[in-house]
Amino acid sequence: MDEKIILLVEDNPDDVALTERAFKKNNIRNRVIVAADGVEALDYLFCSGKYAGQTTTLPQVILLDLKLPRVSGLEVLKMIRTDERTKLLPVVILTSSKEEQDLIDGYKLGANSYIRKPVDFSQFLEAVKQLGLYWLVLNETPKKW
Amino acid sequence: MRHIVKPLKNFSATAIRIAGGDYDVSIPVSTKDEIGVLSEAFNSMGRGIKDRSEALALSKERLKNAQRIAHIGNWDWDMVKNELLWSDEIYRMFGIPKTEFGATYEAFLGAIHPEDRDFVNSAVNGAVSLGSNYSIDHRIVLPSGEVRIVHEQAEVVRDASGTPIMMSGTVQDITERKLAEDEVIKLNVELEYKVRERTAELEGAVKGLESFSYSVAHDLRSPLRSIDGFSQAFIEDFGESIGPEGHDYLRRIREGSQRMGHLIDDLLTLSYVTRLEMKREEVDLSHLAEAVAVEQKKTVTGREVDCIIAHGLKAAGDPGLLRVVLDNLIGNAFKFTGKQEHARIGFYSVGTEGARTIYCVRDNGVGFDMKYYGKLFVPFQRLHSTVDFRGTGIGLATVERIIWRHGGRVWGEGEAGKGAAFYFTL
Repeated sequence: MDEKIILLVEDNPDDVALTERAFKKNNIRNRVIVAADGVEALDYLFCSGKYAGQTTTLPQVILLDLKLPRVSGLEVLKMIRTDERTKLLPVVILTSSKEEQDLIDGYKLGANSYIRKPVDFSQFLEAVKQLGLYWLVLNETPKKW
Repeated sequence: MRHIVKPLKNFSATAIRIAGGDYDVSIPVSTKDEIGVLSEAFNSMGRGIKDRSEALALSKERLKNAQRIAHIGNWDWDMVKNELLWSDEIYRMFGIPKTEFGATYEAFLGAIHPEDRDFVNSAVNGAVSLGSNYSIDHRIVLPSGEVRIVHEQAEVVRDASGTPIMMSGTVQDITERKLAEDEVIKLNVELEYKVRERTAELEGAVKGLESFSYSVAHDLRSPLRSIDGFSQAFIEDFGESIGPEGHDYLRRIREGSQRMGHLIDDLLTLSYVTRLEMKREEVDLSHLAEAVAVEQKKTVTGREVDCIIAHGLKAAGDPGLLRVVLDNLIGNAFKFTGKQEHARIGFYSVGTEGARTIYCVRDNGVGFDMKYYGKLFVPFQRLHSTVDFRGTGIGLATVERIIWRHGGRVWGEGEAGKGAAFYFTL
């Protein structure tokens, strides 16, 4: 139960690869579960769909893209925040845009943080480094939510 | 006796003629006694009556004319005898010959449009029994069948005990005015409908624009991240085997993708400042300019930049948008003095244009040729190469849109090699 898992909700395989590379470059070796869209993310968290019948470990942090096929990032966030089991989980929005409305909606729905993926990969590396340091090392969470 | 009887007979005959309306009479004054004095007085009275009745006739004629021109008639209703007295203009207005009108209240009601009869009747009753104000519009039907609209105003006269005895009022034909008013109402309704229709269209267009820029913000940047990220990964993982040329190519690829990233960001800012809902509050421009200068100074290396910012410049506007204006104008001043060993940048006011203050950002940088002034505020137009000065060419276009939204204007002055000045009002 001590395993600190990262749930990466991201539909773009390039971004998945780059994020994983950024973790590796920053020596973040936690297990990363990738959900390719909102449905998969919810399936993992609530043990439904392709995770039905399994007992999944709740992640230490969820990195959530906003623009996702089927169920959008904001909808995923809303459902995470309304379910007793997941409502306190740290959720970091990690997305392309810094549209004012996305920021407002994200925080309104209870996001813990909002990070824009920079085009410049060096800056992205730095962002992931800070993110990993903060949410996986510095930030303390209760044993059981 | 005959001296007295004859003049007396004369007097009474003349008085009868005057009473009959013949004022062109005079009694010969033959004696200088009392009879003579009386005759003189009698004649003078006759002339006085003649003058006054002529004046009265003239005054009546003028009133009649006035009523005819203004389409206003007046009436008196003797409520005790139920006799209604109309001025000529009312007969003309109602299209009824004087001889055919019964001259009673009931006859008047008969001329009113059947649908308005109850309403008029209750308005009269209200004025008579409750003392309420009588000022109404109603329709009348002319004998020809034509329907006209009149405005009536009246007062009730009461005797000492408060019993109503008489009602006096005016009638005005307001058909043309009413029709014009109806037309105005109809046009207004149409206009409102059109405005709603256009607004809906515009809202649709704005929605389209919003979803477009949303998609630009999200989707256009992600391939750039792939290009930049994997170029970087390539350099890191296979850098040793690609040689200096390979490195150079990859560097160019990365620079290109990053430049495109900036372009997209600037474009989004441009569209953002156009559609953002604007606040209007007091903004301390001097304070904003100081903050921008502090930020800009962090990027300066190996040269001196003197910033002279006037104190206490205040304006009404949107603080966020005005920050974007100063970010761009002062940022440009820093950028285009980049090759100046000793740069000087100023922000101050240079007087007024009407009621508006003119603000100015001036620098001693590379300036520009006024020949190309027309391109200065056009998006994506640049007057310098990206090699000399980086940039996307959207900054001044953004500034112009913000200034326009504040109701002001912006213009520039420059000379190649001798600096530039940008002025704006809010």
